[in-house]
Amino acid sequence: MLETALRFLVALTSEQVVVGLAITAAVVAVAVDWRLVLLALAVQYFLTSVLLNDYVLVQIAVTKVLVGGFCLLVLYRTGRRVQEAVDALTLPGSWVDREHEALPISAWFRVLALGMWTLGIVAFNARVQFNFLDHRLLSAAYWLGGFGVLAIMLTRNPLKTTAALLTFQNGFEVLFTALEPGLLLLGFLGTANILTALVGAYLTVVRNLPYLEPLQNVQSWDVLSLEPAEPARQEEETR
Amino acid sequence: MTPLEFLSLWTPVWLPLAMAPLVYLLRRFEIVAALLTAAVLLFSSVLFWTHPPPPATFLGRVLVLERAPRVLLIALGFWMAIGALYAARISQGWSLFPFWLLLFSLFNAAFMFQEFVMRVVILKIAWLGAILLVQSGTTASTRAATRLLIVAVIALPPLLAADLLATRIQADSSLLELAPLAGVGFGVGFSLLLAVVPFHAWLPQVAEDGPPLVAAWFVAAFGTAYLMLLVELVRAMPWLLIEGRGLDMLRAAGVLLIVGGGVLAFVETHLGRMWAYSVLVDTGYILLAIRFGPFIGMEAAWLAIIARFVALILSGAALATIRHRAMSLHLDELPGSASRVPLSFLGLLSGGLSFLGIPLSPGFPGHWIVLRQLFPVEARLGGALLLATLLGTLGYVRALNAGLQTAPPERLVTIEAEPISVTVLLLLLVIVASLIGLAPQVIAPLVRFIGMG
Repeated sequence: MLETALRFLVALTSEQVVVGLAITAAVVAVAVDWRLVLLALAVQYFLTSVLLNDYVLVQIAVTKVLVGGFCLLVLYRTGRRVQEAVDALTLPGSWVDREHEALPISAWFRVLALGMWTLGIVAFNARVQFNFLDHRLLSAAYWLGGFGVLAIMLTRNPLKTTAALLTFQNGFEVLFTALEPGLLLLGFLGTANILTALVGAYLTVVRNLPYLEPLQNVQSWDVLSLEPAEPARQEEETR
Repeated sequence: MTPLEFLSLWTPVWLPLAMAPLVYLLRRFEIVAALLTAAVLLFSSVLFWTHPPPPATFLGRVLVLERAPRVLLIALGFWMAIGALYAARISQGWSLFPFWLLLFSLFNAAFMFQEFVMRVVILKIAWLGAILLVQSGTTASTRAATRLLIVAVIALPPLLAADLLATRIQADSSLLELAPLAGVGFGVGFSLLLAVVPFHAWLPQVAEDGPPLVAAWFVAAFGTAYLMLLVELVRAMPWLLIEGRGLDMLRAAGVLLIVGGGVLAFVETHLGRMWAYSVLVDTGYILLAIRFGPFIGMEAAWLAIIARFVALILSGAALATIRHRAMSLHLDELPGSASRVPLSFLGLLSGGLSFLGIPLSPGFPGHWIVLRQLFPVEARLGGALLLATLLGTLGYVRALNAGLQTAPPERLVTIEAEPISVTVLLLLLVIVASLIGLAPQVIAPLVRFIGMG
């Protein structure tokens, strides 16, 4: 199945890849579930690599997937850890619901914002083009950058903010990598992306410490099945 | 050049990085870690002065340490060494010492490169690392750190895209019509990183949530580094000022910062945020100074930047002591604190009023040059800026008034006096700041040294 999916992705034309990138960025912007956001980000990294493959050396394009993979690994592990800690509290609602309470934006509002933002990006894309830049790369940059900014505005969850920032950064790098394929600079940009993911993961853990702290040894996976301490439960109920 | 020669000549660059793991292991012994950190930073700074690294190439890129960045790194090394000694007594987070060494190495590396893109990307990496210092293990709020993360990522693309465009325009003058676009890119990027109103929200938040000395260091290190990049950019591509609308943008940013910072400092009820708003006023004057061009303007800008370095360490240390002793920086919780930590209040006023350019403070000469240039051509604007500065000053008067109010004895007992070492350090810094304020000509040779570069 994976092989079929890979073949399908590689066979896509540049225009189709740009549409795919726009869809993944839109999912990052409006989705609430962190797993869906990370899945969209994973597809996005792969599509970015496929798009860049036409413009730069394949090794450089593959580097994007590797950097993205590392970022996703960090974010996924963090998200899962927090999710399981929240689940271990055995209180109604999930981590997603709790984060949603911090910035209560309805699904309708998010979809409406996405629609208006899409119109804005389409208009911008039609008007602002440069002769010395490939229009497909520029379109991809506009979609990823635009929806990345929208995603940042629609969330307060550090994990989702990080995914949004990586989407925004992806948009820029699609353009920049094709224009400035210096290895040292790309290495530094990759390092900056990984650091962004690490800092985002750290902030996610810090923000969710009320869920993680009740567990006696947060370093161990085993503790996720334990009952939380009483003071933490009371604090949770007060929240 | 053999690897051994390279290592010996580039000691100030790699030494802090190499010592960071050792300092990390020693972090529980705060005095030892602080002394070691301060010694490494001072040693590196002295080496930068006496034996600057020679030009070299690395993966095809030229590495040279020019005059202005060299002065910045030396000053930053001294600043951080003093800060490390201070933090040994008033803790600013357990990870401060190893991270400072690591980040100092990153700053060194950034300014070795000549290309703008390399510098901003490495500075972004340093900024991301510094976010952990701002959070410093506290769990109360992640707002400041999240905002810093967003700013770091959002600011880079406009800067790099603008540089790419500007480089093409520099090579092909037929593209000059795109200069405003490059100007906007630089404008947005620098506005985010220098906390220009309305992109300023991250700085007051860092001053509120983060350790005060770390907030001061953030401005001293990153604020100065980005101002230096801006100055070098204007010098290398002067057409950005006219065709790129740079003059208009610098003027707008300067005015917004001074007026916004002054008004917000006046109405603020949190001492840390008030401090941050007064820093914005200072940044505004520096941007206006840069606008006045390569001679008088640059002289004023460098005067203000040097004075700001002194004011930042002084006010940052004072603010940290007040927060450590009074347990809060909210004005309504400060009564009685001025009588318990008087030297800290003196330091805060001395540093804070320097950001506002009050006469006899270190910041006055730079601000005065800007106002003297401004008044003959735009008297009303000059008056508005003076008024905003006055409002900012009144904010500090309010803070002092809050600290001088009497507090119940049971509250006074909870506020401890400053430790002896902190008292000595603050006193020395107040004396240095007063000397610069009274005789600003003592820093004139340094300004000329940077200017000649």
